[in-house]
Amino acid sequence: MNIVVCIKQVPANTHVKMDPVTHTLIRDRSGSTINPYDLHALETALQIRENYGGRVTAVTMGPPHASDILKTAVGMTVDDGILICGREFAGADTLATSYTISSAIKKVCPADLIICGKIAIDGDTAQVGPGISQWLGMSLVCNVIKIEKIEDKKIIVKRAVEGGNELVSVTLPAVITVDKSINVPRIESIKGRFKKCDFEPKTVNAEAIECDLTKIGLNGSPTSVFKVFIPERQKADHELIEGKNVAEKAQKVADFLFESKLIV
Amino acid sequence: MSIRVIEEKCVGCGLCSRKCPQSAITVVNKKASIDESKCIVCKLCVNTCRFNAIEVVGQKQENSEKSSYKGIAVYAESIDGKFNPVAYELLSKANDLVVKTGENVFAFVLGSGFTDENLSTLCKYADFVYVVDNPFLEKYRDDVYSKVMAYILKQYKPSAILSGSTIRGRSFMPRVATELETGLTADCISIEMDENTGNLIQTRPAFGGDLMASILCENTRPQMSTVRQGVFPVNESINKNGKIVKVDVPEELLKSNMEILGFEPCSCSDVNIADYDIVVAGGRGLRNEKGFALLRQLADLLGGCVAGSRPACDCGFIPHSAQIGQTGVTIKPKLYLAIGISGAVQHISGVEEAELIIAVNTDPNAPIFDIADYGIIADAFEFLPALIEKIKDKKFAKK
Repeated sequence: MNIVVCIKQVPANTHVKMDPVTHTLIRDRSGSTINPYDLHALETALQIRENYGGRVTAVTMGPPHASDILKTAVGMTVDDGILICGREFAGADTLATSYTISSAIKKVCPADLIICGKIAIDGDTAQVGPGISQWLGMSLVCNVIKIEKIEDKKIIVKRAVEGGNELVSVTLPAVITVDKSINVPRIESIKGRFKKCDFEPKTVNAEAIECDLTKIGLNGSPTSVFKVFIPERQKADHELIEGKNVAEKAQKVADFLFESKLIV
Repeated sequence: MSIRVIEEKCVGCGLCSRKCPQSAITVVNKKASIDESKCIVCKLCVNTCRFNAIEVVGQKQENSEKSSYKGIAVYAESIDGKFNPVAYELLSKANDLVVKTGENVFAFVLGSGFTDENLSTLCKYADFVYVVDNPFLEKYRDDVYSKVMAYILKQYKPSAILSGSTIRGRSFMPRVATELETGLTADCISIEMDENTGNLIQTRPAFGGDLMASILCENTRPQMSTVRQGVFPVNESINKNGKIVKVDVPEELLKSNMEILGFEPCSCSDVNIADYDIVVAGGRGLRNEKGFALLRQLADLLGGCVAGSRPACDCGFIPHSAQIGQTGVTIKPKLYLAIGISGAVQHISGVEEAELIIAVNTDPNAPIFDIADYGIIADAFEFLPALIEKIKDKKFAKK
């Protein structure tokens, strides 16, 4: 069975701050990391490989240094890593991104099962995984919290839905997106660390994945950012509750809660 | 589309470079230079430049078909025949958006076994309620729901469709957007309409939530957005008398690769933190499970529930179903106690409408104090046991 895991490089620190004097943005550039949910996606794939055999390929789209997260995946012992990289892909929204990744999977690493993290913590859209399933005409299950079994070209999983968990079976090939609760990602193995040292990802561009150039990058993105702004909030005139020590402050808060009848 | 520096006008002041959230601009030889591989065309620099030296080139062409799309549709999600409250919120918003254009508001309903009685609650807010009622739609299957939704969107051509950011909405709407090759903006916190173009200005947090981005879907229709429950208010004064239209869809759309084998209700997600008048929430400042155990004691004393910020949920101190904020739940309790929460924009947008906010933090400059009514500068681990003790004393003394 061929399993593809889609992973994303995200900023290690997503916070931007505003310089109070110049009103300009200060971005903490403390590097980048793998989207935390994707570690769980990788772990899911590796466990399936252990139980059912097969090959696990990690795929990411991004700038050249996104190969760092493919190395993380190799350290966890995935079999291969593919970097979709090229200036022509820049500025892609979720539609163009899902098109690009699905084109690459189709061309370079056809999959029986595609596993994605449920959401990426920088964009917070959770749209690329479902988008890939549509481009490739595959089944889709989101929010998967447990893999029950794989048999007869079907995968049976448990997914979280409103008010509980649902047991569903879908025909392969399929895309699943996984929640963090599905497993605990392994740390890099010794073998993985050695493998990682020599690892060079297979890098593919638009030509190599034979995609429609009108559907990638900025041109293939129906949405565009019209403006970006720092949200202005009305500063509430908060009253500071002061006291000689914590006990005194706590007493004041307790008194206030009783007086305002919030505790009855 | 890309950003270009007009070199003759650029004085190399570097203002754009400092504003750029992507660090895509550097000043080389006193001229701004844009690294296109980093640029995301957010246009922040265009608006910043005091010398009009930055412009957008290659704007996309207008699509003539756009004008055949009219009205605003809302996906009214139902589980066991009951509509998710977000449907009424979005229908209220849709009515708001069409005030000037006078176009119709549609409610799209997918499911099984609807009665005129429960559909009539939607008629109050919509001009037309389109219902696809089929036993096969009783259970939620991603493939079938997305095919049916894409079909009715092609059929009725609304200019936009709004859906709740529910588990279902987030799962099948991206498939619908992909099939229709149109734009979908997740988790909008504001939607306005540009009356001249009919474009929705969809605003959502960006760059990890410290900035807001307004997003347009200029050339494709329908425009698609998802919105969390509690973001828009329900406008009770709307009193339409919408028409219920039963829609038949081709049989082949109802074929699925998915089989639903079973369901187990889970008590953990039964607690809906949006239902509580008093919410006590903790953040990273609580450091560990012990901190949350203290929080639970306090919540029990107050008759409230425990919630958390995103970092607290990510650390596993509290389930994600109890996460407040843009990627969690929006709440409007009578009292909100924020303990050890710094107050990132995403968090604040989920609680700012609380009637009373009391914040406890060690950092006097924490942004949470900007929205708080009362602030206490203290360490949560010292303050919580003290507060619990004082409340117990008082409760006990009363009895």
